[in-house]
Amino acid sequence: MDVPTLSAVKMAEGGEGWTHPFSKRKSLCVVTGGSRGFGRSVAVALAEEVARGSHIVVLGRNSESLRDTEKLSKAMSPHIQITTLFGDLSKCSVTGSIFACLRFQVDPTDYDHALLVNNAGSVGNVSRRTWEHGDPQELDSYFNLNVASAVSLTAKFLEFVRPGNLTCTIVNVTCDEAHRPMKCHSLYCAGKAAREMMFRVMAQEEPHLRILSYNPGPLETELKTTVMVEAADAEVREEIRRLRDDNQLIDPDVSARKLVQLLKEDLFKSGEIVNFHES
Amino acid sequence: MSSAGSSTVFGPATFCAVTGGSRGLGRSIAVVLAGRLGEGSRLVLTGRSLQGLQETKRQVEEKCPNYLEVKLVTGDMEDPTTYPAFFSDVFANTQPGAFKNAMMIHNAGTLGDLSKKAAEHSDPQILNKYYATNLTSAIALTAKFMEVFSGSGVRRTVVNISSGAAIEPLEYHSLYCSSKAARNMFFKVMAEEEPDVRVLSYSPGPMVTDMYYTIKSCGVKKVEDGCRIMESQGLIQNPDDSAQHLLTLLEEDKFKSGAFLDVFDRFSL
Repeated sequence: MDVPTLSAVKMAEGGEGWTHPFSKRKSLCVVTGGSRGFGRSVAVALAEEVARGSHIVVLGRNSESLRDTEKLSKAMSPHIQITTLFGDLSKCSVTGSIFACLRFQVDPTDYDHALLVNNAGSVGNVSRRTWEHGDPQELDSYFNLNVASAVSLTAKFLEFVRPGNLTCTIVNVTCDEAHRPMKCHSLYCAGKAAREMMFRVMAQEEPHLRILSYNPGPLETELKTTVMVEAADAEVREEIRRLRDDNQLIDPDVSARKLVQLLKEDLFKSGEIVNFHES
Repeated sequence: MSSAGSSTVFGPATFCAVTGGSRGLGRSIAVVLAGRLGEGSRLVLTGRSLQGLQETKRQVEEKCPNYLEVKLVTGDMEDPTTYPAFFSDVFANTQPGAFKNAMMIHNAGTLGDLSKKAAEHSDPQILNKYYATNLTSAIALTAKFMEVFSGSGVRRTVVNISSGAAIEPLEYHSLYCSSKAARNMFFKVMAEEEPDVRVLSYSPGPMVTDMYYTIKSCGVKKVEDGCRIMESQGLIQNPDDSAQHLLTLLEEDKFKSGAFLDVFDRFSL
């Protein structure tokens, strides 16, 4: 069942008094995997757009890099709060401690809108073929980080912001590989497929939530460089090399701004997958 | 219908492992297979219930001649640290050179807590155990299967028991849907990487099994109503029929490796 977004209804009413989720409304944003790459770009792009008094919480695994993300975000807007939290989401215990920690620093009732960007993830060991993924601990760790943590974080986030009665948006950062089988990427494909499906079910079950699976396109980040160098399959390495040489890799800042634009417009259908390349 | 040992896909000297063989579809697959495996074959059944496995073995032995060796391995896939010992058991005393065919059928699976919506799955330990049982174990077991039968000239087949839930979001089934979606993709990648292995994802359709009764009695009206509608349309099958359909697909051997096929032929890739 399609539930019209608040924005769509207000636009239809003639646009008067229409405010998108970000302007003039204090947002509480949590971005995972924010130490570098796309996560950092999203934190910075959000910092540029959110209203005064908003709060961006960035999770990551590298303290030093998190500090850089913090600096860049603060430079965008001195009127918002930036919090960085160190945590390795491949470990089960971390999602619980994140919110235990936040409870001391953040009161959800101070905000109007809540946004969670599930960006943290890894591509897995691309030098391994499907049948070489025999290490159970490695697989366990992989699916903890790439699937379980996104699910439990989302559930805990929603529980955390409930007392504030805020409008809520959940973003799942996805990719082509959720649908397109790619050699050397068996774990990545599996994890992304699991996430997309999880958030599609969530969108069906929770019509009051705004859920977006965003495909940022092939990004010019360390993740891609790793694949280009380490993938076991020569064709895969060549494909990334070609994307790079043809300038087809996208600047993560550009893709992040596109994501934020989509969130501002708030016109997407909940549960939908939107690709950077779609205009 | 082929008689025992005459099929080129199964035939004599076939190694076949079926997970979740203690009841339901796993049991049906084992029993239907029993009629197809030839001399020198070995059937390994895994599951959580030794009693259930023993009953499956009894039914298999009732059906087929004495030359089929049936081995039972009990284990719970929730804890990945137990996998190495478990997998060793599954493939113990397996001389790959003694087999012409090797088949791995990933049938074991659980539904997860059907009373919870996706946004309520907040306990990472529970999620971890769920994905271990339903995703990690199948991946790791496949790796072991391939390691055992690599470079031996054995014709290898891997079957992923899937579901329409892999492509259709179902309320209250977020864990099940997501794990099936993940498995489908994993095995599609495997098919791309390993052209010598026949890989099939098979959706058996709704069947009269304990799993179905769990769904039907989950306490969620929407889900229970859905079950009643399917029943009224005569869509709930005997798992033996679905198992039979799977074996027919395998024997006809026409599917594109990595395909996702369904008992009702509703979709194919």
